[in-house]
Amino acid sequence: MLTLLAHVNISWHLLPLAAAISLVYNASRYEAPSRILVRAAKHFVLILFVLAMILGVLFALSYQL
Amino acid sequence: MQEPQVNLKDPWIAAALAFLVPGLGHLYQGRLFKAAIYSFCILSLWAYGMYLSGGKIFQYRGEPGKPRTELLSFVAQCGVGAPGIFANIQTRRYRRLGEQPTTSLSETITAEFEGIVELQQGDEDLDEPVTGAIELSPEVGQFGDPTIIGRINGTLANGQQVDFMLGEGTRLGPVLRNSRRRAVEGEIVTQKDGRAIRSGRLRDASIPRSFWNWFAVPLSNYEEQELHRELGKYHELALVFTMIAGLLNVLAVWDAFDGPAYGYGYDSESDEDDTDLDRPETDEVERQTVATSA
Repeated sequence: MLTLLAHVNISWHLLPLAAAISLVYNASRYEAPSRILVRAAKHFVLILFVLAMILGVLFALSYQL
Repeated sequence: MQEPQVNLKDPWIAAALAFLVPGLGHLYQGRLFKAAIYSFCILSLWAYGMYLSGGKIFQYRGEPGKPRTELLSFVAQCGVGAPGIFANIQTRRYRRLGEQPTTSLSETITAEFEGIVELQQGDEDLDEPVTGAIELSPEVGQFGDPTIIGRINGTLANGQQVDFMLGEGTRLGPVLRNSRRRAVEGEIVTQKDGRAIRSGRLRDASIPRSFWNWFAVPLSNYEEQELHRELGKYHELALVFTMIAGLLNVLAVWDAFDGPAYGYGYDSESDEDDTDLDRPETDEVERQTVATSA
């Protein structure tokens, strides 16, 4: 069942997860399709940016541990 | 308060449909774009979480003394709607039927069979996998108690056709279990002078379990530990995917009931950073509204 995913880093799952959350969240806030897509794209980038920042902080804190 | 620009039809029906199947409420309201987003995103997350766990992540046993955190995750998963209702029904059935193996039948069962047959044939032992069909029948045992006997018509790995009798005391696994296969245990007997003589036994034998009897059925403690051992970190990943799918559907249900959270006015207060390109013209909004209402 998991053989296909055995060599894939688990962090890649963040991409579809963040995309789905961004799309659904913004779809529940706006009605116009163009606005939903633009806002979702911005949120998607924002989520990844924040996660990357957290990763960076954790990496720095655990450096040479 | 702003006037709604999309015809929400009956909000209660829309919300109920959106809860049962993500996107269905919006389809009912004619909001096709949103229906596509909700159904694709939410159902994909939920289906992927289920795929990762082999369909075993979505269940709740609810035994006294069990950590409440499991209840919280189950409630989040239930947001996805129809499967949540189904899981609650399965939990009730599980509490009623329990995990007892089946030692008697009310009617004959015929099913596809696979398992290993261990036979003692003089000096030579047979220990081979068998696939075929099994027929299990109710019987009254020698002490007057109900029991199960059976017959296997199958094929050995080398293609040889075989026919085995299963004696009294044949047992089936529990009716409900979160597994697609139902175990069969029993002794192989041969008739000699009108008496059943034990000549072997079944090992790792099973018949298919119906979808109704395995999907969303609570796991036992042992099965849950096995699932953790088998999946490792993917257990948490599957749990997160299904939980988030359920929670996102709460947003979709509310949208179906009450429209978009920020209204229809595209007010400028919250959109100061937006360019004019992603701000729909008033005429465009009105055209969409008319089209949707029609």
